Amino acid sequence: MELSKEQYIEVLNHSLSCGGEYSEIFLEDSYGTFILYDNGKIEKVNFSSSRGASLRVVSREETIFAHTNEPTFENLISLANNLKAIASERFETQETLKVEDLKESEKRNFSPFQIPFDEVEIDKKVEKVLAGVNLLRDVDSRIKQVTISYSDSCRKVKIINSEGTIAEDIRNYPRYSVTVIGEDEEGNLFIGYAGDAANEGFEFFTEQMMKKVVDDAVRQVVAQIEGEEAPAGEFTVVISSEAGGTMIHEACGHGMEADLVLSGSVYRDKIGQKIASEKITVVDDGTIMNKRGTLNYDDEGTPTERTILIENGILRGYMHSKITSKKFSVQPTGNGRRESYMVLPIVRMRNTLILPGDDNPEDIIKSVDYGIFVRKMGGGQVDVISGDFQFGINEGYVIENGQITKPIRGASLVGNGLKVLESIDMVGNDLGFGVGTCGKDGQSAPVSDAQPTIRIPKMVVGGIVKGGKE
Amino acid sequence: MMNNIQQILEKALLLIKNNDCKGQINVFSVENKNASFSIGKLEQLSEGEQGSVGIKIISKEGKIATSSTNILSEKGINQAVEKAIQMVKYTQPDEAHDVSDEKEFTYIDWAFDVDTKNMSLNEVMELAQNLEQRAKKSDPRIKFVRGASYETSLTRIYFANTNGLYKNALFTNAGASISLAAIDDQNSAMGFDFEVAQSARLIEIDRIVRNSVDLAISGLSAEVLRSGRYDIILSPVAAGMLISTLTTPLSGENVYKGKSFLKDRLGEKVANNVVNLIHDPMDGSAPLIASFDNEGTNTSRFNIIENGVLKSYLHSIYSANKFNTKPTGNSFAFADNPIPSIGTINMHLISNKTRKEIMNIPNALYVTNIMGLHTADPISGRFSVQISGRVIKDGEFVGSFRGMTLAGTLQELLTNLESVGSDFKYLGTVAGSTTLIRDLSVGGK
Repeated sequence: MELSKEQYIEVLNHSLSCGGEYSEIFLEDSYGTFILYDNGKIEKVNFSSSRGASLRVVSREETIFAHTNEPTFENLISLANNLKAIASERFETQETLKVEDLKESEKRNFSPFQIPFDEVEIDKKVEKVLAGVNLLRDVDSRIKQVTISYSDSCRKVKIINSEGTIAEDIRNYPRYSVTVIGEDEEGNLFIGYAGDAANEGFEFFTEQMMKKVVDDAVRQVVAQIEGEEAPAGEFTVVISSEAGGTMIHEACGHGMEADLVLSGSVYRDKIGQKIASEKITVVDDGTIMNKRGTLNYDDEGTPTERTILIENGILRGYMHSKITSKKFSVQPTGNGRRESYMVLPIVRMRNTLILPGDDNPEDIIKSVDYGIFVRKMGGGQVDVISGDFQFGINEGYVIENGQITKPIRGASLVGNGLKVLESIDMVGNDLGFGVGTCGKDGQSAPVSDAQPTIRIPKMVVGGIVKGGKE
Repeated sequence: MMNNIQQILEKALLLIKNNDCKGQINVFSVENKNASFSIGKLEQLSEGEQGSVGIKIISKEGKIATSSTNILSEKGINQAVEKAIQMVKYTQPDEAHDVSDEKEFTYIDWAFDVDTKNMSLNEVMELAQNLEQRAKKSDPRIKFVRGASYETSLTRIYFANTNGLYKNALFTNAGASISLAAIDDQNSAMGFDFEVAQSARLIEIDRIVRNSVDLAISGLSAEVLRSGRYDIILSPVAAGMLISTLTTPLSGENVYKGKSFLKDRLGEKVANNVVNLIHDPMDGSAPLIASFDNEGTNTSRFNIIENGVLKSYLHSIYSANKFNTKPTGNSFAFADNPIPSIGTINMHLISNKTRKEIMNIPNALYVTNIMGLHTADPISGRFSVQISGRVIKDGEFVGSFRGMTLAGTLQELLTNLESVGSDFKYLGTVAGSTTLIRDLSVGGK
């Protein structure tokens, strides 16, 4: 899919010849393998590949866009022609921008990898799945079903824009997940799920990583089998550093994406204000070595950075793409991401974390007379306008008199981002990461998030109410 | 898009046969036009073509492999076939895998609307702009409109397999959606709505504006109520969301593997007597219509739950073979993911009341939005989600609530389900209508 510099310049200039302040070519080439062990055997193998390119032209906050799955020079010129025709009707042309030269951006290396996925035979990948199956053998007689999936994908992107830059990035996404289904004495079924992922090569699939994923899934299903129905209502909640970062992702991450700020997010017009407990500092960092949300350049060619969102309780800034940064008159933060060449980049999180505080995690648990301890969070969702969010508890326990006691069955936690941030009153000196795939506007993006152990004095727990009707 | 598709597929299938395998190929080609406005600006105007090919091959021992590509050329498809052939040895054999032999084929010509196909990018843009402007003007408290969008698409599907089946479909779709924020002092609330249909004529911009604005404005005064057991009325959208969570436990493959709370329940009562759940993929009013699924099986209208009794699971060829029954035509693929898996097109409940009759109730919570339904567990049936909506007293809306939880099991929802309205909202894979479910657990203060 390589064209010459002169050809790129010609496409960009052609697309800008009827107006526009910015033009960009996005090229993508990706492939991936998926292997599934289910129902006692290797059941599925799939290989997928795709490639394509898109072209966008921006003029005064307005964007026109076109894409093709055959990124030849002729096709890119033809896309440029289509956009030119729309631009001539839509854009007020004063003077035409002309690109003279293109310069390659410096190489950055926040996601080094040793073994590319396409250099590994499928049988070596199958071995990784079977290794997980072996680890699960005879582990607990209540486990009736085991599903293990291996997936890898490699995404090479190249961004060439009218600012004169060429940026390239290779993202390798390995992922390993384990689902176990257990049955209690009455024949009720329960599920335990765990997974890990990164931006790294095939060397990611270590024995140690697989063992941890297997152990997590088993512990979760056992907690479900032995657990009681969770109560419903308001309780003190302690979220473990092991729990992952779904809460911070939903409670404040999305609301601080500048495109959502512009659409009325609950965090709008609050920069410089105290919005959280002073124990809270939140960053979104695209540069943490080999994490799933790490990028060298975002999908607009902007170098990634560590973006401070909240510092000691004060809102410092939002996450930006090129378009939103212009509207806020700030620098882009490297958060412009797209699922594929067929869609426009939007503001997305990368690795989002609450930084560790001073409290001892054990003291945090001891401080609670009666409450809920969340050891693993599941997926979540947020309404950024009201700030209300929800996330599932995959593994939770009751805290009684400062001790973790009995496990609880599948419940969720519901809260409001601003209120939760203000009310967090203990922040542990530990830190744990979780991985996920975030969905927004129909696009998915690999992310990670992290937090220390924290205490929230009051949150609504979505358990079961017994007794009479309201 | 290639115009000699049938020959290209025949060549690829010959390659599969020459390797002593059976196989099938789905090709999707989608042309779409899309415009989106946000805060008075054209956020996106795009026109593009998306293609994908999904290949499944089965070795003579019954091993399978799949591959997909977006390169719709003879070379691209053959490379993907070769990749699948290379990989097939890594799976373990299972005799239940097969390809369809249903040669009979009905070409549907009524899911194609020439006016929708011919809409220009400018017309699409004007409709999106119109949607945004009307919403903005409808109430001074609507301060932000994010993503008022309008989209049209033309989809071509080609299916072929090594038994000589060749089936194809051509249809149009139009869709509009909006998300907006109402702000009043310190209170803010989100509203949204969307419609999708076969033809642009069926999309009503005014209705979308009214629904989304009502939702946002009524949410401004929302509060957290006391925990308790409440009667719940689901809005058509919320009901549709809940119905779609039944797809996974109804999947014949999941049931076969023991991964469903509905396993071993065929012929048993799983729901209240009034519950009739049907799969209705040829309903002319629905936005998606299919006369064959993506394994080449012809679809049909059939009862999944009849008068509360579980009558059928949703079957692919594989799961039907496992249950020694016929496939139900429920193996679907889409341009985004061209490898088929068990799903539905227009699954819905049969109405037994009007919306007006259902809403005339002394006390209930009317749920307009559910958050976190993707965290529901299809295996145990347990779910715990966030709900927001309006408070009904004596048949009237008297307030709003938000930030509360609804928890229970899908079994409990089916058992406590009492009334289904006739005001269907078509979501494509499912349709929902105003639905009353009694006595559910709601968490709040």
